[in-house]
Amino acid sequence: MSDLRKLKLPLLLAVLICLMLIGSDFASAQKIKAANPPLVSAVSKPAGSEIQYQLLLQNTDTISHRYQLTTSLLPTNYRAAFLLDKQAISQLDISPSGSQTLQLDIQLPQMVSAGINLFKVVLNRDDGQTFTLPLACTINKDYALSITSHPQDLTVLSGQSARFDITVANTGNNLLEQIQLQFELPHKWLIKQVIPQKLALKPGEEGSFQVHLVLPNSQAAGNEKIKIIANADHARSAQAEVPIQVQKNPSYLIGAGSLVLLAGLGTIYYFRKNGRR
Amino acid sequence: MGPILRIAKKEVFDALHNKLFVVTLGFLLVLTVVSVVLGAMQVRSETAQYYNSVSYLKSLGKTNLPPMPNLNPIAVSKNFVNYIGMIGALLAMILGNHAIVKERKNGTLKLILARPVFRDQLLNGKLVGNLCLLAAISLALGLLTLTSIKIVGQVQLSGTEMVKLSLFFLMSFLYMALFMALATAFTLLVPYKNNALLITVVIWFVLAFVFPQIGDTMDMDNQLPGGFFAQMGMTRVQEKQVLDRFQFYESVRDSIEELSPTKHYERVSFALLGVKPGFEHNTPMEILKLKWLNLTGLLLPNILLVLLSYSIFLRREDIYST
Repeated sequence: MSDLRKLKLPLLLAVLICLMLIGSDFASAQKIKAANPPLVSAVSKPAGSEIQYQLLLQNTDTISHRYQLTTSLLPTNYRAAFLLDKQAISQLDISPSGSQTLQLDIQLPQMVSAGINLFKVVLNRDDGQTFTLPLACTINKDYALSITSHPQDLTVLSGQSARFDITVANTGNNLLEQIQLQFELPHKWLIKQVIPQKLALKPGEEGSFQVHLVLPNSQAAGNEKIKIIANADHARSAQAEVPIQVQKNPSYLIGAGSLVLLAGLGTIYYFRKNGRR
Repeated sequence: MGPILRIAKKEVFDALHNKLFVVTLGFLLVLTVVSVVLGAMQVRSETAQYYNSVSYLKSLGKTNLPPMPNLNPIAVSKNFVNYIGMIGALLAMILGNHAIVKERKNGTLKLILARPVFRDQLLNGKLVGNLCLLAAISLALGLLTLTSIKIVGQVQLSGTEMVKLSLFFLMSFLYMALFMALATAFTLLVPYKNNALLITVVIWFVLAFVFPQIGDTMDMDNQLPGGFFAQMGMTRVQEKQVLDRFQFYESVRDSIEELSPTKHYERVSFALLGVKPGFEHNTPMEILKLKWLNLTGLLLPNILLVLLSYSIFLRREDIYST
């Protein structure tokens, strides 16, 4: 109780927390005030998505303070970032009686169990005071889609085409329809055909797309990548990268070798005929 | 000492007394030093910046520290590709042209060939001498780069990076050798000194600047800012349908670009130096295997031009004219 009283002292920071869920389901921001005891606010999102919280920090002290911003109890594969005007920050200065609105972004991993995750935002003030704010995020698995298999070692000659399979899985609890692939390709590359164009998958089911890729003649030899995302009505998979090694057609080498051989033989014949001088 | 080695030695000696060659070489050295030192300083500053960030994070009590970014120290030589593409090629052309012109001008060609020296021995001597000189220049520039990276950049290169850097300087040598062979062949072919040099420079200009530009400027998609097909509102499939109708045009355009040794030199060099992304995890040999077309594009003209020089020099009667 004595700790809680300290929190109320006017010299210390009063932390007001506004949680704003930015999603298709909620158009307006949802604000929840931090109080004593602090509130645990929760949002529900599918795996692989990003959760954004808005935090309003207020310094009610008569002098300015610097706050170090960290999170605790967040699983290691979750990525958290504090943003101020879209710039990532790790500390913040607030003037006396001033306030700042921050955004906390949490990127949920693709492979994560459904359930509630509790974690804390920790503010360490330059005078040694520490403030914590418990938060929670609920991960649902109603709709989830993932790319489970794609080629890892594909070699294609420039100017030629390749066919390969992409397997997607419905890892959610509901039927997914209108699943289709979305590609990000190097300049002038073309996806000629995807068979089938769309898939529907029941929960736990897997399906494959056959992709027909065409490379331009002018493509230089090297290592390239195509980026693929599977999209459905209610879910979107993580991006998969398919590495493709581009090689030049070996017929050029045969042509070059033949040319050197011909030129060499021609020169030898020329000398034999005319003699050494 | 055989006649070939004797001629080669004299060739090196003469080149080092050629004012134009020495000035051009000096210019190349100064540009290289400035570029490599500036690059090495940038590597040093980025390394220091990383260590500062790490110590700051440690002071905050963080244990999850970011890994050292790939600073790719050998990329300090990336500007060198342009210098060799222009000044290196000019230097090589001066060598190739001067090798023949000086003998004609001094009347020593007749004198040498009046002695028991075969024409092929004379040509071999000149080629060996000039190739040794170009190899020495490449080696010196390579050592200069290594020293700068180590002393100024304070970075120790790994074995793979050393091999990649060495192969890059080998490519630079092959590129310069090509223009030396071109100048030698055209000086033998055109028995007038100024015309020969002019023709060689024009050919170099076309190969180094015009052909690579044709690849870009004649690309249909580059005809409008923002891309021709995008501006026309065409999809990728429609773009492919249009390009299929212009396959011959596209093939000619690509082939013209492939005729440029400068383009081949750039492509293989950028892959070896890691300037072009996508080759970071390849071994030097894997890069050469992937870039065999570019390697062939540097080797093939060298061989053909040397054979052409032999064919011209061994049978022509008017080689003494100036």
